[in-house]
Amino acid sequence: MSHIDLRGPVNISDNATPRLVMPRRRKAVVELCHPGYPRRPPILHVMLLLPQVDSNTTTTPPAVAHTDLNDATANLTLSDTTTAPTPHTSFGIHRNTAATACFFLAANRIGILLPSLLTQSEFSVYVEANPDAVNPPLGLDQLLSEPRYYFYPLDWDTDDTPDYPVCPDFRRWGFPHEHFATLVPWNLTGDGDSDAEADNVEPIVATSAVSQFVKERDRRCKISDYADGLESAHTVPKEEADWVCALPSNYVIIIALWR
Amino acid sequence: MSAYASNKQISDSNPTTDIDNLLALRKDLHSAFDKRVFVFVPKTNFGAFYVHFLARTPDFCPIYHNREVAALSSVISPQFLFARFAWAIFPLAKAFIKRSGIRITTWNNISGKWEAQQSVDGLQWFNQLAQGRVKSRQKPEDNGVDEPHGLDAPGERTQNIEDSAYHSPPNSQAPQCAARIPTTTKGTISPEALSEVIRLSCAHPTAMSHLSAHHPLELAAAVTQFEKLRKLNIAMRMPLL
Repeated sequence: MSHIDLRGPVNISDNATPRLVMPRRRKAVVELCHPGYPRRPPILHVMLLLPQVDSNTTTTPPAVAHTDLNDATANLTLSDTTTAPTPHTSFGIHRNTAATACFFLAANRIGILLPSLLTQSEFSVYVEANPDAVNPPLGLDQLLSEPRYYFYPLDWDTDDTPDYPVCPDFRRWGFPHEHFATLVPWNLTGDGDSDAEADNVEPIVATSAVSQFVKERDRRCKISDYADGLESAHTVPKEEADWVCALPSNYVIIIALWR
Repeated sequence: MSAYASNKQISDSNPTTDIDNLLALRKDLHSAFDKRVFVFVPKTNFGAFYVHFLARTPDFCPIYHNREVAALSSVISPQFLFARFAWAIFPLAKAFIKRSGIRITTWNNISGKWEAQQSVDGLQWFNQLAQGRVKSRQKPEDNGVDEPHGLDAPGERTQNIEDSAYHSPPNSQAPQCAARIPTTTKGTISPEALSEVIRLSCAHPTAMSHLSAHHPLELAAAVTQFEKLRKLNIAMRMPLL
């Protein structure tokens, strides 16, 4: 009995979607830590665990073994000691993405991530000695590839408490209206096509028609570019409507941790 | 936040239902998005948004991580994407909070300093939130502002702080805003709280002009917050005061 494939020939390998290389270790993570509790066990410093999903691939130049030119046998063995360029992939997490995540937890304090545990005075000395560290470069290749980093708010000095406050959840977090325009690289994201925006008047869409409007506006999935199975997704979840309704900065409750 | 929405005059029922807050996603990616599996963040000097995964998944992560999303900021407010990133991050720090003590600190507008109000155990705080969530589901009629909701008592803020989004299905159509702030529909706003709003409205007509009858949600939220703060004698950190 012969099998008839009604779909016609399909070459799966040709249609395979490119996939990024991910770390082989299942628990490849970067620990983002709070420096204010040095007496605690290090495991308790960890505020956030984010997976190492970013990578850099560098190609090392051909390695040539050290040879002594006076050695008569050197030329004979050169071909054996020269290796082809080998790509090396290092994994980590995008630096600014991790710093922004810590910015939220530190109740909207801008800071930097360093792999060492420093006291406040040591951090002040570090910043004075490394002024460029305050403004790290941007780019997809800017990774944190060490297993552990500590988040230091830039204004964390000896006048401040070591255990800087941590905001515990979204509904106690206040949107940084005053600072958003200065947050790198978020402050660069609003620079759309200003001419096009000026020509386009924001349409008034009834709430009941918003979902359909969005599907027709975007036409395709913003990520996969699929046109099938489209849904309209909330960016700020609809369950957070009262958070959106809240008056800006009407009160701020910060929850800190005991020392 | 609602200032960043487009349809301010139409989306009062739920300001998140706004074209600046919505984007089209394939169904399976939408489901992953609502489970905080990935977010949209800018990663370069060019202001472009990229997909960033907060969890490693077998297929989506290797395929879509670091994929540039073309012209996302032209259809979605970056402020909403920023808030979404925060929304996705906070639950990841729950373990750190749970195993710690919590010191509730409030801003004293008079002294200009943060002041500690109360200390509680982190695990206890989250447990009380969970208990309060069950309680509020069992007795939805008790959500009025006349209850002794205190910001210094963790479990008592559950009507506002409970994260129903952690558990609710992505397609639930409940009018969450009205459900959590029943004061408007049930008329349980206390006269004292209402008079406080009216007094502030008169004293600061410009700043309070948006608190009008056609913004019942904002009015209700303001009344709730005013009353809580008044009871606790907590100085409000409002730009208008």
